[in-house]
Amino acid sequence: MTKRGTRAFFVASTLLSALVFVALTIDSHRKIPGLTNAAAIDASVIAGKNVWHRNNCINCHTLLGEGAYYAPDLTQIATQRGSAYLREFLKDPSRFYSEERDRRLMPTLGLSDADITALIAFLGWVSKIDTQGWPPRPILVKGSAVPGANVGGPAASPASSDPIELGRVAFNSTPPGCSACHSIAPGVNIVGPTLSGIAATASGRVREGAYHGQAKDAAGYIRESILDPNAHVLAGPTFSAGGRSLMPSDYGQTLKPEQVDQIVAYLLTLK
Amino acid sequence: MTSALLVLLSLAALSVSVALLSAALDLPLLADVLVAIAAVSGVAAFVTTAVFTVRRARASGRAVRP
Repeated sequence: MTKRGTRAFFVASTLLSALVFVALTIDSHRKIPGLTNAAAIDASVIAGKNVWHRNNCINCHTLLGEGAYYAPDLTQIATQRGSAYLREFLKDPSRFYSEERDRRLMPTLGLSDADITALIAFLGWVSKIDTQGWPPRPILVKGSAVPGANVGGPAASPASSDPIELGRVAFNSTPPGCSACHSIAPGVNIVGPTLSGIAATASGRVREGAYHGQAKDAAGYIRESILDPNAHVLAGPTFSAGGRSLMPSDYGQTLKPEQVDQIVAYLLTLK
Repeated sequence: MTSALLVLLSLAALSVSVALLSAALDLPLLADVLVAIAAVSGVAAFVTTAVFTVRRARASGRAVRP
């Protein structure tokens, strides 16, 4: 290559590199609002961020990989657990944990209902930020690595229109987030009791003298437990503290009747 | 030496830029190949500079020797 050719190649390459650099920079900035879910930032999200800072949540938790590594990463917590769970948890976390068993306990922050609503809105916004897979190894929330649980997993698509299959997908989706609290593996209690063999358990329970609900059979018992969790509360270490079920009681409003039917159909198949 | 160095450095810069563009366009294989070309060009530029520097140093040494 001649000296003149070399110089021309150098100038052209430099200009082209600079052009590509500027174009990619502009493109990155154009994508930021979409990636950060900026359109969803409203007054509630901002109020929730203030609650987050006021209570120093980041001193224990991480968001987007930033923060202290003492407690679980909360980047995806809103999609992993759902708002109903978070609302109950934030009201009184001590009902969900045993200090003797878990060795650590989130403090009860005494948040107002408005603070909790705002914080859930903030966490909901964070969960929809496109982090492109970051953090690569988040600290998982309780129940994410136990058998039969599906915390944080992607929502599966139904393989068919069979009600049982649709029920399985609904059970593992958030909302309603059933699998965030209930395992389907035998003997594995997360927040709620295991649902392994729930058909047999339910039909035995409706025949017990202590049962004071309205159900007559297993399907009715499961339906009643979904729509009216306090109809018959069992004593348990965490899931019935204070004689009230921790299960959200608004599934009658948030789930369609056919969804309840499908979930019941699915749960009846669990061995 | 200057011409070779200019070509190598230009090639490295160009390869990196187009590799970034390829990655942005979801062409990972092309991006990997271009990054490899850029790395080889960079190393070649370093070696070229080192060789010419050593040669020039030797030539200067011979020139001042009585």
